[in-house]
Amino acid sequence: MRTATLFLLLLPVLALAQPDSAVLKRGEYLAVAGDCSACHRNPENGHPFSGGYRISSPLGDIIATNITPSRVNGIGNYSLADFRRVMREGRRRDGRYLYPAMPYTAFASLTDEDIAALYAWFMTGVPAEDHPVPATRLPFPFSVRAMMALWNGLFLSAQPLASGSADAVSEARGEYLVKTLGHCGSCHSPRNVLMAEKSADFLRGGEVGSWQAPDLTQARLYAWSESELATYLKTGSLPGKAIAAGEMATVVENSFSHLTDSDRRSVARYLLTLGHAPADVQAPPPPHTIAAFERGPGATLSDAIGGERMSGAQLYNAACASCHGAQGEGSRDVPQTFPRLIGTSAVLNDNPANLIMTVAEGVDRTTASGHAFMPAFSSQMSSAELARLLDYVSTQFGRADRHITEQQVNHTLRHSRHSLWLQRAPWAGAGLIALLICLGAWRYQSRKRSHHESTSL
Amino acid sequence: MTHYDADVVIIGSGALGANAAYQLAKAGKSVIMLEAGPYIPRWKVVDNYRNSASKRNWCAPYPNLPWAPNSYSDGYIEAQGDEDFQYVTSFLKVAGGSTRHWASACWRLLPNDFKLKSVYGVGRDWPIAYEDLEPWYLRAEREVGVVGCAEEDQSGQGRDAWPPRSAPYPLPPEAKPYMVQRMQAKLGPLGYQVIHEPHARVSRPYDGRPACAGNNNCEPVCPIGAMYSGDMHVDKAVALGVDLRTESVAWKLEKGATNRIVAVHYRRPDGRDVRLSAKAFVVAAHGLESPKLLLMSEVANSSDQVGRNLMDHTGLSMTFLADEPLWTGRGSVQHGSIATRRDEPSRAQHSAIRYSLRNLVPNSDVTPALLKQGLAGRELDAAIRDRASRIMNISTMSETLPSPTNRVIPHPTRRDGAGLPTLQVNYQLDSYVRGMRPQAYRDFANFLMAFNGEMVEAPTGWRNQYHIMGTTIMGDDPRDSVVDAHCRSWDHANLFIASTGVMPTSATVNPTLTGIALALRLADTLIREL
Repeated sequence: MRTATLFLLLLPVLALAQPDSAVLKRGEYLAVAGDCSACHRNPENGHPFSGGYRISSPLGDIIATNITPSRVNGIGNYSLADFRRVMREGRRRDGRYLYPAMPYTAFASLTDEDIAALYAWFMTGVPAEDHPVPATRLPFPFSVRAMMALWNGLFLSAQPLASGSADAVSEARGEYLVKTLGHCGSCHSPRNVLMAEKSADFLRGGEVGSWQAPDLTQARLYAWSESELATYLKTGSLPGKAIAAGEMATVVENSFSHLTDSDRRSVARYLLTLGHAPADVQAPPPPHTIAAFERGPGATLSDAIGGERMSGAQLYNAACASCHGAQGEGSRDVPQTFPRLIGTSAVLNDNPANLIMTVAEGVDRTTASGHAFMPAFSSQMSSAELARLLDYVSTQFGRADRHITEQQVNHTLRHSRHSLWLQRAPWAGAGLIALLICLGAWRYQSRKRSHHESTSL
Repeated sequence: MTHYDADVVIIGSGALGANAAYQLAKAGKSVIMLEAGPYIPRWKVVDNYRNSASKRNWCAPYPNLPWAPNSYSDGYIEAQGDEDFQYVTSFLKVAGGSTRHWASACWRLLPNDFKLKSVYGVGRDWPIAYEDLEPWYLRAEREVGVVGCAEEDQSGQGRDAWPPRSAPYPLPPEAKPYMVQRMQAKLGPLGYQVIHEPHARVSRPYDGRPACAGNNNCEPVCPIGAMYSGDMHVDKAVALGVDLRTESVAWKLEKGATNRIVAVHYRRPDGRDVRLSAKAFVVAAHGLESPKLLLMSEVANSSDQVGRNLMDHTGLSMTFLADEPLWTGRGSVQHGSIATRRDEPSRAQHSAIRYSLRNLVPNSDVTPALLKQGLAGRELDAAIRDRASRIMNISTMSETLPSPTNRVIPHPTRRDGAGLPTLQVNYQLDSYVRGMRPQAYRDFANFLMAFNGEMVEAPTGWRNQYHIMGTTIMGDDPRDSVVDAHCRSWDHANLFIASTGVMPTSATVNPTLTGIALALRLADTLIREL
């Protein structure tokens, strides 16, 4: 890895000032587990930590900062205590509040040792880059960062968790990774009206743009084993069960595929403890005969160049079957280059969002196990054609009663990335502040009360 | 200030026109691209192919319309010529052009191919050298995603890597099919250089395309879009705002007062005519149709060379059964090439030759003969399996010379569905190309003997390779050429031709990559000037 190489090059120079190399290595590993570079990268030159990437939020773009040890534009002046405050309280060195695009609500539960290792690595293992990053400017009232104090009062609480060992598989290690650095809940937990994760519904499914981040407590539903789940995290691919696309493909590429086998297994082991009992999976309907596909050549120009009058089966045969097989069986190689559709989570899921999005946007994922690629079809078909195709895939390879309509396709493709009321927020913001103040006051009171109660005992 | 409908109007949306359009749009120019045929998405071509009874007719899955007839429309091309050979070619009229059904060989010419006259004393020289075009070759290879083996001597002399390259191929070669391994094992010891054929079926995901999975269906359509076709740049150009007008048949370029082209007229299927003005015009309408448009418009022809000098790689083809299974059909439809005769001293006397190895799944080729023999049932199945495993086809790509009498003109009397002239071609084979036959026979005999072959089809008849060159020939003298070194008409400063028709030598390789490189270079000239 490039960062590692840079680190090795710098090592002799910095040798005297260095914390020991085991700590640095651990810090680097933790930064990968936290996928810090997903947001803190520099989109112009690809540098992983010098900042500038714009995180689209309902309120406007939040610009991820430079977290290299630059004293001018980075975190070079941060002490360990400053760094710890960022991770645990979401506050910068100058005391200003961060927006929770930075998942400090998850990082807050990191152990002191891990925060120290991350700090050591960022300060000495990462080369300083003076790349200036423009300040995030959200519209009023969200420009008032102080209101985050109220939000934090409501939603920030560190949970004491033991880090566990990266080299021994354990449920506790898995829980630690999932809840802290993995910040899985950022996508996989539903959010409330104030955009905070609903803690009661931890990992029960969320939304990322038009994609659905599946309910992880349902992992058992499709009878995944621990090693299958671990393989999925390593490669993004489990033919016949799941394919990582959208944001999850990026998470696998940049983070999970670089973790240790043991950490992936720990995560899998922990996630499987959340699962419900497996539901009955309906057998797919019998395959169509070839007659369903054949029509003879089109008689009119529009029949010769378009699919207006083609059935879902015919569209599938034309656009999908060359790779996924006429019966959705996938390619015959092992592991499958072109995955089986029957049994795949996106096809079986009650929510068709990921099936629609995968066909519309395709797949493009590279890990050590190869480059998985599927073209995007949204520009090649009308939404009516997409809907017929998707309905066929869903009813033929998923469940016979689960139809997909053109309305659902349009809804998913047009789906606004953020909740509507927040998009129209700037003036509703005053109301939000009032709400926050009320809630904050109430929470403060109730906390105080419970504190009194507990101390009086 | 004069109002223009666009900075540039490009006539034709094939690989050359679409590549020029994409570059111009990237540079912020407004572009209108006219296409005689309709737009058809890939998956629809796959559907048409599956539903077609004519699996070996590579025009069949594409629309063939009265106002946009393809080469296989009855009577559309009237050919006159020799008794033993009648000119045929194969082209489509759809967005993306004829690369929609090509097999994507992406060769560069050799440096000597640019100076045939000065090195071998025959034909013509280009007004530019290989080195002049090299940077655009590289860009063309990156645009279309060429898979190649840069270490080989593509001139077939078994020396160092040749022609020289400023950078490696964008993509590494795929696994070598068994057939090519057997060719190398059997023909290599006889001194034949069996080398990799560069092509545009990507070996890794590239530019929004999946890696080739070996469907062996390159022609008439790659079902997964791994192989390059011109519609990919049509889509990219349209995404950048290029105004693609399909079912719009250009029929006249209008000359202005100062000898500039001021407008193009096109006809819609309903007969309505539209006039478009622009600062510059690029004719990219195919090697036969482009000269037809120029001749119909009476432009660009002060040299009287428009439509003349028609070249192809007219040659011979042999099919035999080897004494061992070769398993053609694994991988893509063409694989490997015998390059030994590409650039030998005998080019002074007769055509250079490159041998092309067919790698098509052969079941449907071997079956009719077996049915005629009366085989049926298990016996038939066994015979199909046996023959399909052993059959092999090798054909020559033979260099032809530019001759003014080999020409295409608008048909004097016949009209297509839009009321526009069809094509009339006169094409004869001269002693230069006929003179390569003894050499080809010696080689074919060696190939046959190396595999203890049983002849299925002897190399007696001539056949075309559908590579059109020479019809809007490039040169350094306005008196005997149509365009200058920048593909600009000698007669009209704002008229450019993006076509393999500008090539003054045919060499022995598929010309499309050279055409795309020239189109990219032409676009750069326009970007500088507009």
